[in-house]
Amino acid sequence: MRPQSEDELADLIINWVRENKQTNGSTPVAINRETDLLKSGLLDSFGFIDLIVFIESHNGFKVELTDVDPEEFSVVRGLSRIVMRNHE
Amino acid sequence: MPETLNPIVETYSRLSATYDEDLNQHSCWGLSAEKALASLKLKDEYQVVVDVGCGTGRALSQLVSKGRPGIRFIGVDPAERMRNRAYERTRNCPAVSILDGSFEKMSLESASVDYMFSIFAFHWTTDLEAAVREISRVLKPTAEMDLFFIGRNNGREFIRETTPIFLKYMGPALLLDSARMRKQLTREAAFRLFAKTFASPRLSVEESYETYYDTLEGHWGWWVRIEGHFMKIAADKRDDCNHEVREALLSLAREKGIPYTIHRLHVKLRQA
Repeated sequence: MRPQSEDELADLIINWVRENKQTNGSTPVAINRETDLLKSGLLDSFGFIDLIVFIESHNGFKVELTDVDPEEFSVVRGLSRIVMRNHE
Repeated sequence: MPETLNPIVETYSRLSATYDEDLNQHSCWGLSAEKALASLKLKDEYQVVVDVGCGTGRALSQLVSKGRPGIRFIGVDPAERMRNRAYERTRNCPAVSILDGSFEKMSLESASVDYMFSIFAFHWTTDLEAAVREISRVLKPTAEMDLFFIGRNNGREFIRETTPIFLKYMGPALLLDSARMRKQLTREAAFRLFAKTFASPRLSVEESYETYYDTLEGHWGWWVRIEGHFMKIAADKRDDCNHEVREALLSLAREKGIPYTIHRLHVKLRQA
């Protein structure tokens, strides 16, 4: 079931992060399409590996990260854009 | 596994000469390793005891001094220079052999080991499933085991502060490659991994969190050496990256020092 748009993919990522975030506790996670997943502490590098594996298995294609802008990669909207570019 | 193909093995081999220096032994890793070692108990029925990832033979030589006569001790390590130091350290102990090998491939006969232990080495395994199969092959059916290794949340203070910096200097692909060098499991994942091969009444997995405080230099001494990220940063960017990372670590400083929390997993296998 591939997302049809960047926004749909961003929502998919947000939901995955809510379920798999690194931070502890029961306080609601503040996350939206502009959230930087690393700087916010929601994911670390291992969390990103799991997220990429999830996106790849969900979409059925590999996400190529060579030559990707780091600033774009760590933000929900940017990551969605990178993945959608891979699909084009 | 050929030594030149694994950057972690290469790094440990290169650092063997300084591995036993005070800076390392008094670091959080040295202290935590000592605790793990102090918890090991050699039972009278053990005949063959194996230390996988034996490094310079420090733990092995201490256990030999406590063991009863007749026990055969074997140290296994993939890093040649670490093995050489282990050999030098134990050369006067005829009961000790030092062998080339790793968790994935040990030059040991099947069903030959009574007790296996390992202190902070299993997370460097390149193939978890193969490693557990090999452990199972060499252990006797009644064997016991204590594996200590780092868990999923290890060093979370450092990781949170420094990952954005490493991402900036390395880019996403290299950063994730670097993280993949370590197999940091949750307690549940470690249990699932070993439970595929070992029955649960004999198997248990415990976890602990312990925070160690040190100066920047105290942490830097060990961290730069083992952190995979550092090996993948272009030489011309390394100084700038180091500067930013040091600033980030300093921002963590409290009255007691800079905290680093070791998330330790302990896989235990006991007789039924």
